Amino acid sequence: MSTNDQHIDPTLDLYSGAIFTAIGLGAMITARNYPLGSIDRMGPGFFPMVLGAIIATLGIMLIVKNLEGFRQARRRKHAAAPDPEVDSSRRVGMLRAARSMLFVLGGMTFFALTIEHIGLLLSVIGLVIICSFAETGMKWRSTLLLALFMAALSAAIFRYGIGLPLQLWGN
Amino acid sequence: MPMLIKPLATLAAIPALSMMIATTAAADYPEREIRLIIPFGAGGSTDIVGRTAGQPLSDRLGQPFVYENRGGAGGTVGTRSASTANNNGYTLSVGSTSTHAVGYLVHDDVGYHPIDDFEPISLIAETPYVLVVHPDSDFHSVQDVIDHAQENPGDMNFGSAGAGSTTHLSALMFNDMADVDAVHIPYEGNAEATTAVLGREIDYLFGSFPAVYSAIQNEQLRALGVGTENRASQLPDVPTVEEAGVDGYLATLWLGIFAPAGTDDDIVAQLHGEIADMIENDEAVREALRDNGAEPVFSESPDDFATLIESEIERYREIVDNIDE
Amino acid sequence: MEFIDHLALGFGIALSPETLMYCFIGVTLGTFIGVLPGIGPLATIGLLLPVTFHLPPTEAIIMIAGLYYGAMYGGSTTAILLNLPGTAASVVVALDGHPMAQQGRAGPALVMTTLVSFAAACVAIVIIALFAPPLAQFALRFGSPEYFSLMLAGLLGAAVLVNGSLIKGIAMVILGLLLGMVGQDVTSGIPRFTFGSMSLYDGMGFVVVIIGLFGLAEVLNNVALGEKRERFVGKVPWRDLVPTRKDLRDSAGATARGTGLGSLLGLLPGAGPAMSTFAAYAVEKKVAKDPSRFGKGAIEGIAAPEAANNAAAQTSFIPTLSLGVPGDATMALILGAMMMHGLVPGPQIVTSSPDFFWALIASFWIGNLLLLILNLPLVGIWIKMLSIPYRIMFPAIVTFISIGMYSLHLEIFDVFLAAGFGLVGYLFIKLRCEAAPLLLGLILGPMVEENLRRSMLISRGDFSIFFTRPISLSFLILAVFIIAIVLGPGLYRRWKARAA
Repeated sequence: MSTNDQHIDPTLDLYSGAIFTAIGLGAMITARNYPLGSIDRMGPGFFPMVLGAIIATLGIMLIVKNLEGFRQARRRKHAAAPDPEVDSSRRVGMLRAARSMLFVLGGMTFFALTIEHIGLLLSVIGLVIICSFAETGMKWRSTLLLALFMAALSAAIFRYGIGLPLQLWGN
Repeated sequence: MPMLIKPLATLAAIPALSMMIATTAAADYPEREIRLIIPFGAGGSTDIVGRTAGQPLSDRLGQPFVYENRGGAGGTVGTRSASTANNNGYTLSVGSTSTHAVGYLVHDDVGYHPIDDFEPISLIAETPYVLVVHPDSDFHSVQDVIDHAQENPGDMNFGSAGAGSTTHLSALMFNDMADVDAVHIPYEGNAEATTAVLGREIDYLFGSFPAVYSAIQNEQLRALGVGTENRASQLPDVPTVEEAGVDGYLATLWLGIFAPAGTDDDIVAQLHGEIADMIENDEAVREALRDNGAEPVFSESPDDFATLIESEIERYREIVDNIDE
Repeated sequence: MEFIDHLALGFGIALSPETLMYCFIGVTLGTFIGVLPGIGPLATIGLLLPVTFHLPPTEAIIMIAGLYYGAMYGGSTTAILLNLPGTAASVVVALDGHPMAQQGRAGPALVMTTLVSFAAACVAIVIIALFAPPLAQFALRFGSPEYFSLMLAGLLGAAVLVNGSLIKGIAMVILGLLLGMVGQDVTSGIPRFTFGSMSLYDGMGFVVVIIGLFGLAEVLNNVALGEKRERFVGKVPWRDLVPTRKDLRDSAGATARGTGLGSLLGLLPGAGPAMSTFAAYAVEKKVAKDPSRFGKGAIEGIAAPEAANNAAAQTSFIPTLSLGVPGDATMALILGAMMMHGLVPGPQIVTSSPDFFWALIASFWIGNLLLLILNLPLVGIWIKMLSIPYRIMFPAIVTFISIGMYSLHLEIFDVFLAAGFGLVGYLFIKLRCEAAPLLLGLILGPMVEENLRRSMLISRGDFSIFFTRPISLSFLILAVFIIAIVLGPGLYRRWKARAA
């Protein structure tokens, strides 16, 4: 279990370590706003402070442990001739990822902002359309059909089936 | 996914049917369904009392009730949304000691005023906080607890369903009035606090009646006193805490129906009339409330209810102010 | 024999056509609603509770029990098929269930979960029927120090459960504990890490976090991968839907161990069911000849946690019924429903309403049986869902997630929170940080802290309280043992290398 971690890119673990350290320090700084208390009467700041310290320490341990591997990986990368193919496929991957975030989360944001105003049906239609842009090669016809279908299905299940107090058309 | 539709559509008929209720058309109001906001989760004691009273009330009004459970932050989240709801009489809410007195005082900014932002309509029920101890303990009366605590200051532990909860404040009020010094051990909710008395981790608890009632009946807990003005009908042998020697002690959880501020006076009066009549005369409702550990009570008038809330806020304000020792 | 008479009484009532019908409606509704992402047993019962108000008490409670099992099962279904777990238990089941689905073995995985639930239920029912009162007394011996030590051991167990480094595992658990701190502090009433928002006052709903970290992150990752995503396409012949003889043989031991763990931990209110699934998985991994199969579709990785979860779900009725103290939010809801129907829980319920009590016990079993019957034809349908093209599938999933999150408390904030955790979960996938241990930390976080603080309050600041109480001490020894078996081999090797 804990022994087969050699396969993970040290760069990734280094980043993880940095994130854990940052979270730990952030938690400790925030916890300073809450009373620490004493051992017999621990205050609300005590436990978060301890947790923050532990996670920051673990983060630093991860950084130290992977620093050497990270340096080697970088040296290897610099030594190797730049490979335009790898670089461009990486760039495509990142763009895809950014696109998926933008539209999927954008669709959810649209839903959250509109559900209490324009009602369930329109909100779901908007959500499905926005979401569909997350994949390349979106086709309007099938997307619109899906949007209408999802709106009807949501109304059937959540409003009529379960009986949630959701407005179909808004106020 | 499409295969979901058929069975769901068939089964959808069940809740729909349950909403169909015989109608006895009133003058104008209400002409459509009424939303009742319950600021606690489904199945909790506020929910149970709210629905127990809501069902027959909806029968009387001839319109279905749509129950909306909006729990969170000791009921203050749902109550805030009730305070800003449309005041056309079609949104009502259940409020209690938690939401309209203690919660309002304990939380920094609940976003509503318990009286100014509401039209209180009427009380519906009241439940006592009950002083309970373990049956194997040496405490057989309220005075036993006080004596022991005074002889051994700081030695006893008392529990609560969380810091700033009504159970906490009822106990603090008791400690203050009986001049008792004990250590507060907070738990997450009534169930955990009750278990802690059963497991003898704490010495005493002012438990919410519905939470401790069954354990008292099974003699897993010993009830020493009830916080109401009069003895509870379900526990006729248990004295009130006041009778037991703590002068002026009163700790109850009352529940009532509220409308948002600015709701038409006629609607408020109509609702009050129906509720008061129902609580006073409908034996089935009274029975159902008692089965759930609640005593049916109603307010003589909406103003009466408002006065009660005001006095409750004042009573608790002092204790809340002293809470951060 | 008295026990047989009692069960006969219970089955007599539970098998009456009317009761059977309500049980069936409950199981069916529960399954279909539980399948929706984010709507787990708690939400399902909460939503459908009003439907039962018009039924006679016994029928109502049996229908609710049916809903409960149906919803749990429905949750496992979405977890396995779409990696959209809705409860702590289904997070663990998805660890190996979803890989199985990707390999075209969703059928055996789904059938296995029902078979295992049924087997676990059979055992747990006997335990409830025979030992409920003494076991309830045992559960009362767990005070705050015992809970703290138990959870410490449980959290360490979760940290070593993942593939990958122990440091990351522990860090994820601690991160979960930290997230659990968000909201009002029970002990002082002070809101922490809420940044002034009332919406965070009660903490982050763990359903929201699970759906974000697992379900939504999976969607984001799949969409970002484009054609490269691992997807099972192709036809599954009917006979491949059921588990093979080898599957059954492989899971038998795991089921037995899971049932044992679950039955015991289920007695402990709050912590039990979630911990039992994690513990059962960790145990299987430890006893397996080849632990590397786990996380890649090992059938034991489904059988053990599923058995543990079901056994725990059953035995958690013991404190609910015999002490009148609900073990978790779902139990509280069932307790509330009982009270609403005029049934007062407590040990006297066995004598005062024997027909109700034994009918309920019998209906646990019947509910599971119905689930098995209902499930077999459904499996084929669920599998077909996997062949829906992903570009149609993912907007549908996101829609259900969005509505599901909103419907939890009618708060749009929960939708944003789920979206935020989706982003975090995607980052975790990219960084190879496994999120399962975080989840146990999140669930247990507030409880760990409260029990520590309560222990210190009760002992007036004396740490020896954890070592002088035998039950607490044995859990601490277990915790040391867990660390030792993980670090032991590595340290030994290093020591040997240095000595040489």
